[in-house]
Amino acid sequence: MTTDRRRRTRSTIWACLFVAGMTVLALVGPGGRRFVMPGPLARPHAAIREDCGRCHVGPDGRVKSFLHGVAPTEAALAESALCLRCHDFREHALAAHSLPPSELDRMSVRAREGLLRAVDPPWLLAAAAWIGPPASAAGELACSACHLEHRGSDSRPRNFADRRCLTCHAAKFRSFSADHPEFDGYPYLRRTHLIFDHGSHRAKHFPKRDAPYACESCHRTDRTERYMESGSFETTCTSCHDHVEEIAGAGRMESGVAFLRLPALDTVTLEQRGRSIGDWPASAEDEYDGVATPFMNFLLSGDPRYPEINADRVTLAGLDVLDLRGADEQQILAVERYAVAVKRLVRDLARGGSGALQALHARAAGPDATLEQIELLAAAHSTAALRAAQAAWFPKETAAGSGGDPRWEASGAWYINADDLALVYQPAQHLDRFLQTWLDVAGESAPASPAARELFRYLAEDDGRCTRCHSVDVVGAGLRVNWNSLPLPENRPFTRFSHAPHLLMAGDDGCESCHVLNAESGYLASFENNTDALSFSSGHEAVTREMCAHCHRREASGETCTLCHNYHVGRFPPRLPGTVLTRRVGSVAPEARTARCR
Amino acid sequence: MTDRRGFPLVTTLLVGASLFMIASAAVMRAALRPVGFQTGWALFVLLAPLALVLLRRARAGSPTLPVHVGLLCAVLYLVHTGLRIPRGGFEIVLTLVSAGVVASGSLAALVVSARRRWRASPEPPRFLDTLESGCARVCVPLTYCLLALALLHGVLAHAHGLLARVLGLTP
Repeated sequence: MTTDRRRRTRSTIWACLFVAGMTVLALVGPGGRRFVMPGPLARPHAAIREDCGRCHVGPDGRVKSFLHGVAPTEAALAESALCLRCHDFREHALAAHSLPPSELDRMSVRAREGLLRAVDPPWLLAAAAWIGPPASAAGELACSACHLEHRGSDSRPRNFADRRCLTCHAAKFRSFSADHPEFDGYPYLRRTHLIFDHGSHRAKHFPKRDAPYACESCHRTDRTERYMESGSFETTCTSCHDHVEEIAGAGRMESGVAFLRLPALDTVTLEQRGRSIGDWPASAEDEYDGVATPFMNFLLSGDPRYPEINADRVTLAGLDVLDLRGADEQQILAVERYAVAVKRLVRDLARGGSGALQALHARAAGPDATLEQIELLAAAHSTAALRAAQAAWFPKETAAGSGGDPRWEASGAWYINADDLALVYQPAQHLDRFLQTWLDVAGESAPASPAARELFRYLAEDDGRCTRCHSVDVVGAGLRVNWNSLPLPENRPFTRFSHAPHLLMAGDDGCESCHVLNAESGYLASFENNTDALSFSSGHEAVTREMCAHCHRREASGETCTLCHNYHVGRFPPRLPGTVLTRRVGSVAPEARTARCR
Repeated sequence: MTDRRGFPLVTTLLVGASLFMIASAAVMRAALRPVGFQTGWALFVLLAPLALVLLRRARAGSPTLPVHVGLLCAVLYLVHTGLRIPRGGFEIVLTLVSAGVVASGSLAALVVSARRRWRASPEPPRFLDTLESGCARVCVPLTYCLLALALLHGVLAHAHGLLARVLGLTP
């Protein structure tokens, strides 16, 4: 061995010993874990400090778990379970987009059929797609497939390269501004909740009143500054439209809505045929052909004897109940039973008040009735008015002093129409709680109850004024009146958009920079006889990718996927820590608490 | 002459291998698959024989093979790190030692190349001998240190379960 080689060997040994010694010292020293960490944690995770076990799993006894680098997917999935202790993405947390695989499958039909496949995907992405993402057999992806840690305190694990999305996505493209798939009717997924024709208002109504057509006079950002919401009816529409005179002051709303109405009956013939129904208002005889209101029919459907009552209704259909002289015995019996049922309804409502209404509604609506609905319904009615009606119609059968508070009419909402033998509700203003609640109740109960369907038609379709502006959707089998102008954000779970920063960038055209009016679209016509919210014509042109790409490009406002898209779809509020109070309050000395805080 | 004939072939192989490593790592990363395990142990496997060769024949024979293997190691190292700036203490030490190996190895290669040019000269400069010897005395120990640290890094990163069991740290 030459001198030179001996020197090299000696220095090599010394150097190795030096490095090994220093490394051992660093590892076993107080900052050992920090020393081997591949980098500081991001600021949101900084509190974890050097507690590696909070995020990394140890071996579970299997060979693979000792050499987890050999099976990285399995190890990463095991570590993802630790992530989910804090980041709770619910049942399908590790599935793609945190959605049930069946739902994602349904949404991916276009991709599977090849409609979204890019003609010329970048070679890197094409090769990556061929290999495929590191998913488990159940299609689960580890958190670390996208989120990277130990990149410094200023790093953001939520931010990652776009290619991490494009590995799985069938539609491969280079960048948003260059070749992102075109938008499909964005942002209009469905028709508007409120029926408001921007085109006609701009072309006809505003010029007629010499009023400037300005978007900001009706729209403003909401509290989150993400969505544009319409101003309230009172602050926007009423500057031109008087609700009582112009909108509600026509048809049924002008004279009120009959809540209860006694049917006119030939009580003389009933008595002659030995069928006495007891107290019945004389003025109902031979004066008008009053029929029971749809409200009554709906509430009667909550009567345990409803099958009989309904059969009686069928029997009475077409029968002139004002003249029962030609009626057969079965029809006479039906009239008697129906009259008794109506009296029982009026009596129950008058005696039980809102409680009886709740019980009847709960039975009529069945399992669909929600507590909130029942409470709203009860709140929208006047027990005093119901008692007064009973006292007026059935004085002999009303206990003395139970006629209700005589001041009940002071509110002006309820009155008894003596000519019509009806207890009438008079809507007086916009956002009428009575009509709103009944429309909601009837719409939701419509699938199961023919009486509810009849009531909804009565309120909404037959001269109903609410639905002149508030559109009606079919939801499941039920019907829903859209009371609010803003569609729910959940309608677009995959994308997010905030109006606020874009408002500052609008050019001379203002909102029309993006929302171009389309007066020829047939917007109003698409609402006629149509309850399918997805079949519509928008009053505005769709926003195109080019509009966004004008600013959203790499060198300008950015064009990363997560700028506009959500990966985890749904709302996932943070999991609350389990708190078990085992110590008596005040058992810890204040000094000890202070010391712990330090 | 042998070297000159072999040069294009070796260079082509070197460039080809480098491109293959870069491309395959890029594809694997695009497919969301970590490449640290494979590239790291490949680097170790390349580095270990190189260290042995360096220890045995630092000033003997042609440096072509160590230089080419060293270059390949450098490329593989860059692929392994993904050009990420080291932030952890251990990673910084590892990077500094790697940089030392590359610097001393590159300098040694340059010195050997210069000595060849002066081979025909009756009096080649003495400082080249000194410089080459110095480079070798730095490069070889650093290479072994790098090997030891790389082994520890591999165990910490990919087999810490085993380490924990050996050290009795697991429950």
